[in-house]
Amino acid sequence: MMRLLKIEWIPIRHNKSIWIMLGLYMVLFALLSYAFDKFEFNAGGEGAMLLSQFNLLKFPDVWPNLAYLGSFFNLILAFIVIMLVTNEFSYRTLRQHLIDGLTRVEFLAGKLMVIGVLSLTLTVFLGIISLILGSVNSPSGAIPWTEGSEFLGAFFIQTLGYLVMAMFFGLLLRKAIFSIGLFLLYSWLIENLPGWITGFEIFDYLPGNAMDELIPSPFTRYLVSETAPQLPLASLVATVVWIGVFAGASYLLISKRDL
Amino acid sequence: MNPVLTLSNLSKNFGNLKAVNSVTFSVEKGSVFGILGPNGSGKTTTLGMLLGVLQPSGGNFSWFGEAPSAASLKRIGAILETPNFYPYLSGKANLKLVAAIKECGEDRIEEVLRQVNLLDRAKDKFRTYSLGMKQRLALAAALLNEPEVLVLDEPTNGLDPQGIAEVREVIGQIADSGTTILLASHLLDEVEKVCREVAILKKGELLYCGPVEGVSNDLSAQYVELSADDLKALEQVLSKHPQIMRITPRDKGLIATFTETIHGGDLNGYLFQQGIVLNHLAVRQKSLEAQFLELTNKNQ
Repeated sequence: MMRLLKIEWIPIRHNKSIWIMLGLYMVLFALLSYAFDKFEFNAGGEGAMLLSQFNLLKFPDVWPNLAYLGSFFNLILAFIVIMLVTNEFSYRTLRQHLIDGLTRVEFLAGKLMVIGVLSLTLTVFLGIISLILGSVNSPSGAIPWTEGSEFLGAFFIQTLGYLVMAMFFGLLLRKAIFSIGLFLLYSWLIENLPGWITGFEIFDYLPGNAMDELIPSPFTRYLVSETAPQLPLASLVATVVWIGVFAGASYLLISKRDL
Repeated sequence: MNPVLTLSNLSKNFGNLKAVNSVTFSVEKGSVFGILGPNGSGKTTTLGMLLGVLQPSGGNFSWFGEAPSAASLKRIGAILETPNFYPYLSGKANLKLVAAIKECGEDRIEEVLRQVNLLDRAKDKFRTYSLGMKQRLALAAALLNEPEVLVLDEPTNGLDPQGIAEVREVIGQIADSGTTILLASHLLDEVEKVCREVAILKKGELLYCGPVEGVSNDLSAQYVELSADDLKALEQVLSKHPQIMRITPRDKGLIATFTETIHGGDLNGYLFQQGIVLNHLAVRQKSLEAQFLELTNKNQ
């Protein structure tokens, strides 16, 4: 396991684009989290209103709200993963690794470990930001800070799911530009089409939709009902299943292919 | 006999194309073995299967008498086609990665870099290297695990004469140390200079497998140039020679090939006895190149 991590770490460590994208992710996310409740929100007829009136960053709301904000940033991470995977094809280093005695399963396991470490790191980062902003914005001792923190776990699973899906697209198409294009087209359009056309709820459990639903948008909640956010269990189960499906499909893609 | 590599009926199809068609041969431990063939003859495809990047369509192969596995690949050092490294990593960092994959430790990195004469450029990024340096870094990577077998695919392709000489010198040193070498090339000259045994491929078919000298025996590599004032009489007498194979006129003389090796003096004596006085006699060796072309054309 340490060997596989080392094999992944050496090329990542010197890859400037990855560190620039990660740095951008963290700085932008920290800034937007801080500014989250200072935006104006245009709610149709009633005109513009300040989000600050809802106190979005107090415990326990801070957990689902920042997790929701974080899910927009997953796209940057998906680009990183697609780049990492497709580089191995364009530099032909996967081919060389196999010649040197890495197995196809080890290659896949290495990439999954990177995805796991990346998801975990950013979950911890999100957790720290949420804790800090939550403590600043909550009256002390009012509500235990752990309440609602299950959304931190949901963020981890969501990120993991997005990235395993991104890896699959990278392995499928092997070229960064095609993989990113199809990934965007698929998750923004193709997957939503059957739902829009038929209106069947079952299409909410397609991979991208299930991952999106995992952390629901806070805005409708504040406008429509003031109930505490619930973790959607069905979406959680669907996401975990999809992670398994994409990992398995990636294995099938890579195990017999000529490289 | 102790083969490190055995292929039996190994085949690879790309759609309808039989890129490698039921190829069988084995490579003995310690030998310097060449795979020779024109471009598109299936050399790289064969090596691709042996090195685990292509799935055979049929047949099988074994390294060190074992079924193919990552473990056996770690005992091999191989370059397939182009040198493949991360362009933004230094030569040294790339070798660290190879060491991690091969599980062979990093202590030999400096040694192999010195061996291929790249030590002073070790810290520079791979993309700044010239083609010859890239090729040499690939050779260094292949040598990192002190391989029992070194597999090289067109190792001097695209190099200038100095680069070719440098790479060949390193290969020669490695061969002398007793490492088994498997070298694929379309350059006959290269195989002739470096290898002791050769398998000749054409359009995926194995045409010949055996010692390099054997190619000659197979094909009467020797020919004799003769000329006399009376060419007609010379041809008549020659055609009665017990070992004669073929007589072809050329320029102002004849070219004769024989079924056995002929000694120039004996032939001259024989002709003189028959009343022929020669004004030119030369026994020549066909180059491996000529033989190779003959062999591959014969099988068209």
